[in-house]
Amino acid sequence: MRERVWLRMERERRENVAGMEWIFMLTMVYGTMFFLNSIEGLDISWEWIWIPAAIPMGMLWMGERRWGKWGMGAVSTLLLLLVLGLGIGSTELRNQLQRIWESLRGSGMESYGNVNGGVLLLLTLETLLLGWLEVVFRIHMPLYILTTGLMLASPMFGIELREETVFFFFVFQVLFWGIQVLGSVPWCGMRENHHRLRGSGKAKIALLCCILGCFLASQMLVLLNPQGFYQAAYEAEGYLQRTMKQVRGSVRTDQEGIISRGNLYPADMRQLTVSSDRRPTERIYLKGFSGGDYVNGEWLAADDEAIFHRMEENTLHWDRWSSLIPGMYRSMFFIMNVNMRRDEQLLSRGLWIEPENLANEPEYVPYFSMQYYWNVQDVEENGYSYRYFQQDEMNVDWENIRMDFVTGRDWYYETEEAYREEMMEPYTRVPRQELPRLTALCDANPAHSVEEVTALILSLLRENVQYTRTPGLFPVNEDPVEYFLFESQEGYCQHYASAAVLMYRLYGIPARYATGYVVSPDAFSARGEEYVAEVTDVSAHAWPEIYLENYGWVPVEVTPSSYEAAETAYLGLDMEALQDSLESVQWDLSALTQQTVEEPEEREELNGPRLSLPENEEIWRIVTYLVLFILAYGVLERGCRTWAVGSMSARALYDRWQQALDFAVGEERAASWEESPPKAAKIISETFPTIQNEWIYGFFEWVEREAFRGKPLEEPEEDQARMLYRRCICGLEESLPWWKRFVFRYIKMLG
Amino acid sequence: MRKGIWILLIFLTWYLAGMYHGRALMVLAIAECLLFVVMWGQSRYFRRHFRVEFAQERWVVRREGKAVCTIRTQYDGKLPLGRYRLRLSAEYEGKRRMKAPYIYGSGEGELAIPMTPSHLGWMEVRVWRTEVFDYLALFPVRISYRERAYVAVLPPRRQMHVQKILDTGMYAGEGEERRLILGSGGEEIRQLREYAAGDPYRLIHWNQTARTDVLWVKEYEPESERSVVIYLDFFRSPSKQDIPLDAFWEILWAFLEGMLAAEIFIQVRWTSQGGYPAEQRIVDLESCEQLLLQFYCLEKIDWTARVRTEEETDFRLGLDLILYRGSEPLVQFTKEGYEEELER
Repeated sequence: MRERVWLRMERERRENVAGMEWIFMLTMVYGTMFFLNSIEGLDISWEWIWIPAAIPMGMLWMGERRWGKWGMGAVSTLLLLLVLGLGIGSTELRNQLQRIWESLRGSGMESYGNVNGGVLLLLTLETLLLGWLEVVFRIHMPLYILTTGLMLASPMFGIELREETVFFFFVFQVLFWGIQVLGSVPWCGMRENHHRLRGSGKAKIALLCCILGCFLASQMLVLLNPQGFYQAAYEAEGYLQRTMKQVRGSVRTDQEGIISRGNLYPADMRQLTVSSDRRPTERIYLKGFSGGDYVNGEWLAADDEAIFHRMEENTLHWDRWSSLIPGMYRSMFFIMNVNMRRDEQLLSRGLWIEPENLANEPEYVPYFSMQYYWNVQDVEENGYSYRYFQQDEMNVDWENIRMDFVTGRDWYYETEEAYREEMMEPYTRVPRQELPRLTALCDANPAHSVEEVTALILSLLRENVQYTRTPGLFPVNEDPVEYFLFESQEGYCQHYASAAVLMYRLYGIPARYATGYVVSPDAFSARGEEYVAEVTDVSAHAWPEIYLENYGWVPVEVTPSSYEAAETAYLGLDMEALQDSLESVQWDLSALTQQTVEEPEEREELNGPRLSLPENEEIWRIVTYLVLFILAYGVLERGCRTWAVGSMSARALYDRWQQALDFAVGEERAASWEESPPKAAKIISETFPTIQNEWIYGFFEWVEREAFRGKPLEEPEEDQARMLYRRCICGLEESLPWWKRFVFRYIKMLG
Repeated sequence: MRKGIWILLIFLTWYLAGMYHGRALMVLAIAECLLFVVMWGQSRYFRRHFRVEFAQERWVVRREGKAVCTIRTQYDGKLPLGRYRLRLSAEYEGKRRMKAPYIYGSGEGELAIPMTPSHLGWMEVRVWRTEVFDYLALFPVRISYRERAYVAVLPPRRQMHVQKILDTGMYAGEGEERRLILGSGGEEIRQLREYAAGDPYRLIHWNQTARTDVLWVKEYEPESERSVVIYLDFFRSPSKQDIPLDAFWEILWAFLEGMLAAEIFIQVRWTSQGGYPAEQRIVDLESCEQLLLQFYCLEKIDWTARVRTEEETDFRLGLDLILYRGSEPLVQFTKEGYEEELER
């Protein structure tokens, strides 16, 4: 037989839930109320419903206090029936609940109207759940996870959390965690249970003070320097992303068409080596991806093959020569430019591109170019070459062609016409339903030429949107372009280019989203007879390209970081008309400023910590909540204690009397008065003239009688004892100075 | 685990707050961070101010039913104490240490921990592990104590049926010297004699001594009592390794209590460590307890190394669990079944 010395202590007994805990369960209810209130479009008058929202909790509390778990069960059933009855019986309430559900799903409606009733029903259900989980089953973790999930998921779905929500949820989460920890101690074996109880209650109050203190301190810190904390998050994310890229050795994501909903952190890793036979004098756009359809915030790859097929089917009918179409189309404007009749011969430029990882990289193609084959194995294995013209060297005139190229010109012309005809539809297609605000903006600003549209786009993006590589995360349920233009108004090349492409298309101008690298002339350095540039991921770029007659696809620079870095010319556009439109046309861009969610100061470029003084309004709001909360707690707890006296035994009353006396005269002095009842009564009545000797003596007699009898007094006897106790307490309170009376009554809650 | 999840939560909240420029979430992240630090400090504070001690350094329990080990928790900090957890261990000389289940508590007070000692003798009880927690139980901090207490475990109350022994007429040992014994108060003084070395001080007749300036002691009339003499033979042990001390003490107790119940006093004799004869008179249960506690203190001594004394006494009880009457074996107890045998 196994030897055993120690016996297991009896199973832990749960203590009754104190009034304070019931009061603080309201924090979850109010947190939810403010959470719903922060959903855009839901009209909730929290000022009117915060008191009714507390009534179900009060009813549960009373039920539990008076009749225990059975009472709570009865009240819960009653409330549940009431909620179900109202939910089923009232069409208006049902509609309100439906509207709340739709708003949570983010169905895009601008306003859901007043939903106070529906919110109250939901809060009542939540109260029931809370009461049973926290009080009966003593389970806190599911609610902790639920509140954490709500808070963390809110910004992802475009819900801007209010500080009230966070405050109430935080208090609820941590306080009840502490209550679970402090409450789960065994009672048995503890000889001084009342002592333990008091200690535990004090610990809970100390925990509450810790929570409030931490929250207030944190509020102050954030008010003083919000940008510093945001910046720290970006720096950490940047460091992590860059490290991961360096460890992986690649910056490619294989998701060229996806518009990023996050931040951009280039790792400055070499991606390409570009060599030119002549020093370039303008930026070289190396395109690796062209976006066609725009679907759910993503650009699908442009399908030129389908266009070529339609060209053959609908217009060209070249039959066995149709295989020439793609090659002709791709080199069309290069060939045309080569064959222009000129006084001086124009030489094309040679470009050799050597990717770091040839197998996994797409081919990056310069504009107005034609692939050139060296027929040298080493060169072919490591990269590829193009002959190209710079934009300022392009001058295609179909009529001014070299005589020996007339036949070729006709073929090219036919191809260009067919292409222009077939690509108009796919490259002007926009999902207008998904972009209601952008569509409305374009409708409000009619433009009739490419120059005017470009001017509108440039005005819009220059003056109303800020360039940053760290715009933060975009909500998952919002279109990135609309969010970029109308809400965050911060972004980088991908967002600028996408917005521009969609706007061009909305005006009927064929446009595509292009990504690749932009190599500045400064990046080239002479190396022997060549000019070499090492292109890193810092040069990765996205831009719109539009289709212009005589030029084909032409890049248009709309991102400030690029066009501010160098003089930008817009090939194929009438620069005078563009400049004129930029300066003289007044665009209606009011839609951009109507729904801005963040304060201007929050949208500033993150240039490091910035000090700002806390706003008085914020502080006052927090102070008001605190005061309201403390007052509500004080009033309810006091009422509860006063009510509790009505059901206390004489012994319990005596304990309270001793506490009161300890407070009034100090523990040591009160202990020295522990004499026989007549003597003690005499001392007390002499010390406090407001307490008559017969009251206190009578009270002591009842206490003594109950103690000796070993069982509670009869009901009338208890009433008598309570009456005498109340007189004594009132007398004691009267004799205290005003400040001590305040503490006695409202802080110690003994009065 | 909890700490890890909390830290993860802080980082996640902070990250999302930064990415979405959510001031409310940032406040939450920093508040969580501050609270984490506060809880860390709190558990260190509790460690400095919390103490655990035994209510008594030594106490006596019986090996029957439940006994209680009382622990006193003390706390002198200003901040209300959170939760603590402690574990006691018990150990008999040369035996395996037995640990108690964890006990959780909060606040100051006394904890009565139930126990049921399995062996007789001195048992050492220690505070094996004490931990204090912050309010969220994130940072348990261990406190090292060297607190220990000793519990003397006495045999359960049981009486041997001594009536048969008495019926044989074997009682009231002969020898006049045993009848003329130094008595206690309440009996008639037979004579006064001069003090001799070894006489108890309480028998000094102070009045006579003061008058004559010579130390006088009181001699009482011999009690009209029945008494027996039992010799405890620690030499008679079945083996050196497996000495059935628990059974021996229980049988001895049952014998003594049985005799006392029959209103027979007992003179217990044994041979002390140095080979000198020793004896103690048992007149009540208290003196029984004293006798056993005296033997418990000698427990470290190698019982089998004792010198055997061939003294003729009324009874003789050896470590071989045989009770002799005179030189004849009366009852042979067994180590496993002595409890039932005592009942018979």
